[in-house]
Amino acid sequence: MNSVDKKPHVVILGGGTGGVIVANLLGRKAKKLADVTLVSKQENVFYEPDLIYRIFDKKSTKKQYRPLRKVVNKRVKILNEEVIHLDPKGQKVQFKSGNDISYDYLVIATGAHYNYDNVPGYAGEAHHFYDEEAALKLRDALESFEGGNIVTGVADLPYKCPIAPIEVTFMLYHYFKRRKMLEQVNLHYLSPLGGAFSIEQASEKFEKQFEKKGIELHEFFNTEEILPEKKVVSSLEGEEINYDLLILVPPHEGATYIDDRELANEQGWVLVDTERLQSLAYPNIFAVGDTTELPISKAGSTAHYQAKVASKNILRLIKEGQLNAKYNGHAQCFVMMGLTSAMVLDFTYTRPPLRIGYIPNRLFYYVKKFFARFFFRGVLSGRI
Amino acid sequence: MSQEIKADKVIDARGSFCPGPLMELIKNIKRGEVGKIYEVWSKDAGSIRDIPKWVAKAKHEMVGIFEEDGYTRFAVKKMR
Repeated sequence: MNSVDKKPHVVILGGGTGGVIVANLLGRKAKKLADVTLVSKQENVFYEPDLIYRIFDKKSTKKQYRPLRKVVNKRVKILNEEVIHLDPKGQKVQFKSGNDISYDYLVIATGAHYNYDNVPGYAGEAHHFYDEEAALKLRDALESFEGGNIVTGVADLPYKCPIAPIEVTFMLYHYFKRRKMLEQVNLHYLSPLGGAFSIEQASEKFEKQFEKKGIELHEFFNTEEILPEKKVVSSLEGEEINYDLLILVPPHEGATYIDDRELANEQGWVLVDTERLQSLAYPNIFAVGDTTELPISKAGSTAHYQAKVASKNILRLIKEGQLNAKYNGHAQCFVMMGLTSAMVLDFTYTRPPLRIGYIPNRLFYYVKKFFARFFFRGVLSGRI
Repeated sequence: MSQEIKADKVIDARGSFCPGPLMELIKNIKRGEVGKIYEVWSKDAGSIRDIPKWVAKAKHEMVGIFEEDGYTRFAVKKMR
């Protein structure tokens, strides 16, 4: 902590869901107690979940962007910088520009990034929909697809939004049905697990849908490598599948600018207490969202709920030198079951998903479809 | 089977409905060293079926399954 006449400096790394919510909460609630700086390499917030719609429609991604300055509290200073190194002992962050910044409290919310080189053969061969450029490229590939095997799945673990590749597989079915091409297309889903999904009741639902739609489920398929010259993807478990179009969630990495192994593991996933969200090694560092090593879905909803807990804990630490807010593992995922139908999975560390969510309907679809507006105006403010 | 197996890494996946204990185990084993023992803790009833099945299919070794108070420990040795 700094001297009594100087306010502590809270630095938030990352301008995605978690980082912006923490910035807004602290900007409002810690205005007289701390200086707050948000660091982001992007000048905009991007609403990623709608990319699954962009694969299948002809719309622009323009509405998925908002300038950071418009959604972040005016008391929060924004720095457009890219982090290249974090020194947790010296409490300093270095930027690519050559500048640096010191902090008293730090929130790491830089999310997940994609490193295609982590899976041999992935680069230049596999499609995905986890960023704008790739999603639009996949849209073109689908439009020109004339028939054959479409293989969907996951290139590596862990990955964001575990349900997304299943949703897209269902949506592919309906997309080709609309184009009257189902007889020319064979859909295959590669599951890393012994069923379609980790939650048994949801998995049963998905498996029934796979069967009904003629989508072939390949269980225990954890991608090892892709052989573009043979158009084959192989698994750690020793299987090979032929594809004509391959759609695999890309290999993810966390905060690779961290080389302190007490703070983050080799893949850059930050090691925090599962409830307090505080670093296990550095009490003045917190992490939220995709960049954490928590045993919970990497998703917007979890980043949202975690951001509220981390903000409360930092505020309490500044005010009273202690913290008491706990994250209960809350996650909420809306799952597209077709092009106009969805279900919802809502659970915590101790509570399994609510039964009501298992009934696919159009209401859940509309909630998911129109959530972006609510996200920019409501969720990011931290008031909800 | 002895309960004194010394794991090289313990993965506490209790409370993980998604991505779930098996996905946590696979993630760790994939990047782990051959010969090391990984122990995953699970409260998920499905783990007793899925974890041994995956371990056999991926040709690793199930070193032990231990019932504890309210959860199960699965110890797996990475073989390749």
